Amino acid sequence: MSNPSNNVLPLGRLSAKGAISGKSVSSSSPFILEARNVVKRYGSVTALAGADLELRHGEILGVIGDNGAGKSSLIRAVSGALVPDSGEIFIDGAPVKFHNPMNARQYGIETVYQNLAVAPGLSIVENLFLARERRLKGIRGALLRTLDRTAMNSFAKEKMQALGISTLQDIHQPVETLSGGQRQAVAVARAIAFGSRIVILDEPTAALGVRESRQVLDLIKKIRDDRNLSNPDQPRYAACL
Amino acid sequence: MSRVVPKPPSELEVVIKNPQRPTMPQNINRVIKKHPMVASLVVLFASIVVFSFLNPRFLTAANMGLILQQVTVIAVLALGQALIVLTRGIDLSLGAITVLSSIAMASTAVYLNWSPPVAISLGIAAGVALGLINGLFVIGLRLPPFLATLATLSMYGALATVVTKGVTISATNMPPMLSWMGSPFVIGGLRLTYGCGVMLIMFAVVAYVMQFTQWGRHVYAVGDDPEASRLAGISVKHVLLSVYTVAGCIYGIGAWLLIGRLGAASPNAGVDYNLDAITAVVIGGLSLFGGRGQVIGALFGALIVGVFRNGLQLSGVQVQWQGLAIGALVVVAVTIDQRIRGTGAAR
Repeated sequence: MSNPSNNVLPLGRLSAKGAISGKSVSSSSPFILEARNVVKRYGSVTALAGADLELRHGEILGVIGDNGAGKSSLIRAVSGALVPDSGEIFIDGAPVKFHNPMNARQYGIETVYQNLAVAPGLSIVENLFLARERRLKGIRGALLRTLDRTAMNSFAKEKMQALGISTLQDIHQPVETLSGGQRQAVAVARAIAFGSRIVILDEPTAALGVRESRQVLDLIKKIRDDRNLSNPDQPRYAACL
Repeated sequence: MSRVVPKPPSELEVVIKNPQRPTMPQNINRVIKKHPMVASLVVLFASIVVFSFLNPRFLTAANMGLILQQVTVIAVLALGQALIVLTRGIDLSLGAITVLSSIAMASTAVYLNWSPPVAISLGIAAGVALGLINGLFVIGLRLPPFLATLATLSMYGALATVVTKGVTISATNMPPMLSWMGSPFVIGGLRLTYGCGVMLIMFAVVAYVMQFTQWGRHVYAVGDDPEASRLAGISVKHVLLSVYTVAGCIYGIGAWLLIGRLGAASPNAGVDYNLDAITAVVIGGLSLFGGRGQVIGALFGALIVGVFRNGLQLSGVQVQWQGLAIGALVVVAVTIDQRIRGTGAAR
């Protein structure tokens, strides 16, 4: 890739306990996310033999490797989907422990899963707010848990526009009517729309054609570069996997 | 042999050939896809029109009221079934739950002389408990809903027979409140029962909940894609458990309606209700594969079945043929559902 900050690490170094850093944006900036000596075994199989990972502000990091190399295990450990046997994970230098993806989400780590990201029958807005719905204020929201559709719609419109995927005619159309790239965009929008700091994408282009892959890669750069997308106090960082 | 091979259209040509305004069939397709119950609404009105031409007695206030009374119990049970179907499940035990709840109401009121409100509350609570047990089998033991409710159908049915020793309790022995749902009132020449009103209110409430509340949308999400819902942070187990419990509550209220409708609480009632409720749900445009359709469709489905039964009868068609007609409706409904999901998944 042409962008100098898109680092690509050959896999051998991952299992050989190498820091995945390479050329970074500013090598002096502190690590926002750091994993040290992460070990995960499944029975007799060692999936991760002391892997390290370092991620700096504004960095797009790609992890490349053969099947079974441990990419997914490393990523799942960082996103909370997997609890490592040993090793440490630091956010902003402070040690953290994740027991499930919700833990990681509390620290601003959002994961876009490969194929399971969106519910096809639900609309774009509903997918965006899945499990994070906004409720009406007052008794209807508190007691009946009635949704605040107006607020959700305008928020969704704004975010989709900021992402440059406003080509979607209608935010109420079901996700299954979208192309693969557009679906991925919805999934990415969900990951960044709620103040996340680190976005993990698991094989974001695996199911996509060349042009759609291009769109997704552009989207990832856009997330990093476009300050309008992010709250200035909380710049976003993407780990692309 | 020279054949003109059409050049594959360039992107620009495609755009020109597909103008912004979709064609008629596309429009119809889109509407049905978004609101599968529209198809059932059309069938409902079409059948009413056809039957009213076949027999002048069909489209009278008296007959319409009769149809509404006839479908009331099935519609309520179909409402509970619809919730479970939306989560990709199916409930084969609803007839047994309803019967057991109605027996709980009637026997505590008649044999133990409990006050009617307490007896009715107990009956509804029994429905809630039995639904909860279904849910626990489904999420705790991870049984497929079909098998879990097949097992509880057998259990609950046996329990109903054991408790009553096979004896039917007639409404004439019950306090009037238990059969209140069957008592009639007249509105604009339409003779309805209070049960009809309660049924309509229940549909309105559940339709609101499903469309406008967090819980309702989570039920749709879980039915549509359980794994995506889990990863998004929805507790799929809690949603499923709550759905089976709420369905049990609906069956419990249905039990009260059943006593009013039958004028009795009988362990032998409710045999056909399972399949009738599933039929209503399917004809109403809800997908057995979860996440598609609106609960109000179950009402339309029940009404369609009621209209067909009643209309065919008035037209002098033998009872045996009614089953054939309703079977044909099911085939049509499922075909539409398959097409909707087929085109949806083909991208």
